[in-house]
Amino acid sequence: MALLYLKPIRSCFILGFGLTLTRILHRVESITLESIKSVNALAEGYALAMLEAAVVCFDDQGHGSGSILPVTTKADGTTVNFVVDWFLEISENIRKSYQEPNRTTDYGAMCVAVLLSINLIENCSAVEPTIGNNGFDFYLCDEDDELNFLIARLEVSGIRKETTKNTVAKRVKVKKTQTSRSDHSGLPAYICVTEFGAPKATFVQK
Amino acid sequence: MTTTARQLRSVHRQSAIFAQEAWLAKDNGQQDRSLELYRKAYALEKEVASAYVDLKDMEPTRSIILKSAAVLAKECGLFREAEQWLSHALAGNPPDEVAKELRTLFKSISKKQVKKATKAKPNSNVLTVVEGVFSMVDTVKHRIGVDAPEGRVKIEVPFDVNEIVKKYFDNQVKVTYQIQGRRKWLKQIQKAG
Repeated sequence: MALLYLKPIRSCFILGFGLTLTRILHRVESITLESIKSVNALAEGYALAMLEAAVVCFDDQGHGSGSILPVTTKADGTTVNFVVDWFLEISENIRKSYQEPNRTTDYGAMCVAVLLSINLIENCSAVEPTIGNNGFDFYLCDEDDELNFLIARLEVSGIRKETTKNTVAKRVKVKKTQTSRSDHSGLPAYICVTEFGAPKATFVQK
Repeated sequence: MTTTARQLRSVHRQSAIFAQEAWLAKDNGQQDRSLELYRKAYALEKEVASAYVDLKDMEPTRSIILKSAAVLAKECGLFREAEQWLSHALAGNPPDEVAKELRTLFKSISKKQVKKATKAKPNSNVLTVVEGVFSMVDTVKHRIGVDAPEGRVKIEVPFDVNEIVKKYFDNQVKVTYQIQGRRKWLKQIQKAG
């Protein structure tokens, strides 16, 4: 008799624990692509180009507003699910402006990476593009530190649709081995690779 | 101090915004507009960089700001100023990765400086005269050699070298040439004396 009472209690406990664990392992957050326009340190035109490119990339792969973007944040596979929302409707003019696939994917990936940085990196309150570079790297800023406000670097890469030769994992690996950047250099670096086909992303420290 | 720091960051932000617009203009093929925006960005970043030169404890922000000033100076064609910002940055304690980038940038700017200096050689329009024996000819490179008392002078010939070989080879000649970059170009050749 005692066993009969214990069983459902144990089951409830296991179920409850399981749900909590699921929530911990699969946190659900949300990003609205339009919020790129209010990120400190980004020029209006630059932010708009990123937003439009991101919407074109998601739409091109058949995803609408409200899509789930799983983001791998640790080497052990820890994932945070982001609901990606937007309000922008793609006009014919916008579509024509983003016909060059590589450039569009790069800009779209920049939009996602900047918004993920603000959500995932502690103290990151602004994101600045590196001046004079190819435009795909950023510095993360902590606005609370008035003089020494640049806290980390962000390297961005994008894939429109993963193939066997061009995968997120391979891109991350390449980025990690590209230079001999040291953890002791005083400037931590993060890598963000976004794939619009699935969609999915990896955001890890270098 | 707090107000100053805030103002500095605000000026840096404004500069970064001009720089992004300049980069976008360049990407869209608007070279003139891009240069104009880069100049605006540099004017502001220069102010910020000057303030950071002595703030040696503010790494990595210090070296990144000095590097930004150098990149903007380079985009504006101000190579000497770019070198000065890079030197200030390297004189501090930049993170390894930034230091590496500073050195690479320094090398590329130094190359541009040398090219610029070569192009703008002050004596490029001055004609020089040398007297000696016309003793060497290279028909492939269109070049002749004159053995003067101070040594052999090699001179490029802008026309068919065979014409002057027939007339003057092995003779004492008086040659007038013009220096352009590292080369001497033949202007006139005649028998000496």
